[in-house]
Amino acid sequence: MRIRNNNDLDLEAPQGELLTVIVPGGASNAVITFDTPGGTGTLTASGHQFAVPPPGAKPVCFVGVTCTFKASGTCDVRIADQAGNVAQHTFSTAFGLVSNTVVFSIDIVPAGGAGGRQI
Amino acid sequence: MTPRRVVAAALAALSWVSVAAAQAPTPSPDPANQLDAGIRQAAGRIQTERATKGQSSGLLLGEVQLLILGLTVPTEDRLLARAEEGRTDKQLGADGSTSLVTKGGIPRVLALAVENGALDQTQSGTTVTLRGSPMGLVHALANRGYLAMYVEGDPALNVLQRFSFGVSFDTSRGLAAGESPTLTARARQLSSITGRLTLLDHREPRRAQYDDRWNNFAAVQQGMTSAAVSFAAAARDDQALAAWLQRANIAIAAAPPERVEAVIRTQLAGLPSIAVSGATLAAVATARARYDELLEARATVLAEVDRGAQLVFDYTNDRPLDGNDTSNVRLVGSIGGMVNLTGNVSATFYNSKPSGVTKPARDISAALQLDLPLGRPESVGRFVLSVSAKFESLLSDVPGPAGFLLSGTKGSIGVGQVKLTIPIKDSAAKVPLSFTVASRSELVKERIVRANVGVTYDLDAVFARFKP
Repeated sequence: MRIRNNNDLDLEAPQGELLTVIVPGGASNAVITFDTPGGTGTLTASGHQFAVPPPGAKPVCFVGVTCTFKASGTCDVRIADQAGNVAQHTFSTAFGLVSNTVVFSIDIVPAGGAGGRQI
Repeated sequence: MTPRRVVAAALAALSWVSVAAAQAPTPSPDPANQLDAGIRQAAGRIQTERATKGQSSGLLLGEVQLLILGLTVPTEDRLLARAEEGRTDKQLGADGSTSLVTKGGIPRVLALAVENGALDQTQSGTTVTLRGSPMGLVHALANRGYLAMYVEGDPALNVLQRFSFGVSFDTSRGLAAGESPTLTARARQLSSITGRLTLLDHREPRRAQYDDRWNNFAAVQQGMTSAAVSFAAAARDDQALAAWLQRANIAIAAAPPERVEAVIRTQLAGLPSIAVSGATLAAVATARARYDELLEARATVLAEVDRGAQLVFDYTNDRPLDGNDTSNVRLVGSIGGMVNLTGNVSATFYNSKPSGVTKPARDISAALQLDLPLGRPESVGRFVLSVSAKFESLLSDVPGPAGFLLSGTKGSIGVGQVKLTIPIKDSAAKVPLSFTVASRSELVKERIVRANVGVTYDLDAVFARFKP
């Protein structure tokens, strides 16, 4: 997985790569739902793993995560690959947000190449 | 004492019943104030990125909620939300400064604590009140990186959550002639100290008893998540939106740090007027509908939480400028449902007995209030019928303002009130009608019978709508 343009919500990854979406510690403080190529559901503390699908009509897939806070707190939404590269986006109730949704876009690239961050 | 002050004293006594509610329900957020919050969140992120990395990627296409609300929230609603938020920010010092002149090291420490979220600050007249809790201090230290390990849900920390405290400073004390109220936080300005222990709190949204409600809510939220993904897919292909984002980020990158939020706000104000594609329009309409459902479903869960039982123990050390310092202990219980029932029992003690007073206890009291919501909010509005009663026993003659005991004031006081609060639909006005009977006041042994009609109006909301 590679982060593009120094933008953690703009990713690229090869078909078949296993990615995990997780919100560390957030499940106790918020209701977290996800929509990934691997399915939809409520995110638990262990996260949700999915495989980057084959490119369809467009070589891109999306991962959506919604955090709605039960009380005050922070949602640190992360997508990690098995090599340890992590893309993250954080928001909290500090500014008055009670809920927020972010969507990571993942450009599907040919297999191979290093992961990490592309500036 | 004039009859007017007698009535005021009686009504003030009844205020003990109305404030017996341990926690007021939180107002529901709306899309406009959530857009405002999202703008401040984005501005905070951009400013942090600049400070830590030297640059920022600006607004992101993946921040879909910000874009969805930016495309759909009407301009007039944004102005109203901004006006109300600006007022709150000023009171709470959220811009990084207290709203009063401060001097000395202690006030700066307090200001730092407020800035870092360890304390909450409110102001009423010249009195500044700071409230906090051990748990809040833990949060603040963790957020600043001073705590290496902090586990949410730790049993020890859960015990700390039950405690909270408050300190009030009367900034009008100790002023030189012509001097403006200034927070020095010295002992002379200290007007009260409070401590609270929450014995029972079924109004904690994270309690396991509400898991089923939150699970049902998750099904509604899933609709928003999936609609947001559909919007992101449409937005990615939208050239008009891409061009707007590019222009906005150029303007944001050129803005000095203190202007970033304002520039974001200005750029988002132009978003509804760009010619987005039909696919984007359809996707944003769906996403906005799902978002509105999410807010409503969340409000429904929290309304049920707010009806939970609560039992708190309060201690207040009151230090009036004129008169005797007292300590008050109070047990407050409340429970909601079809009706809301709140009650308290309390006792007040002299910190040092006034001359002529033999008993350390000044008074004991018990109060009960029942609130019955009536009507339908979506049609005639939510009426509230309140019935309350308070019994107070003064255990000895009370000192007057000059410090001399007022002979004959020892005895019992009974106060009863019936009040109907009438909302004016689609306005910020409410009309309370009340009928009060009191056997006497603390200082004057005369029966009081009074009917009151009033109007309460949120003038800030009115003036905000007429802001150019």
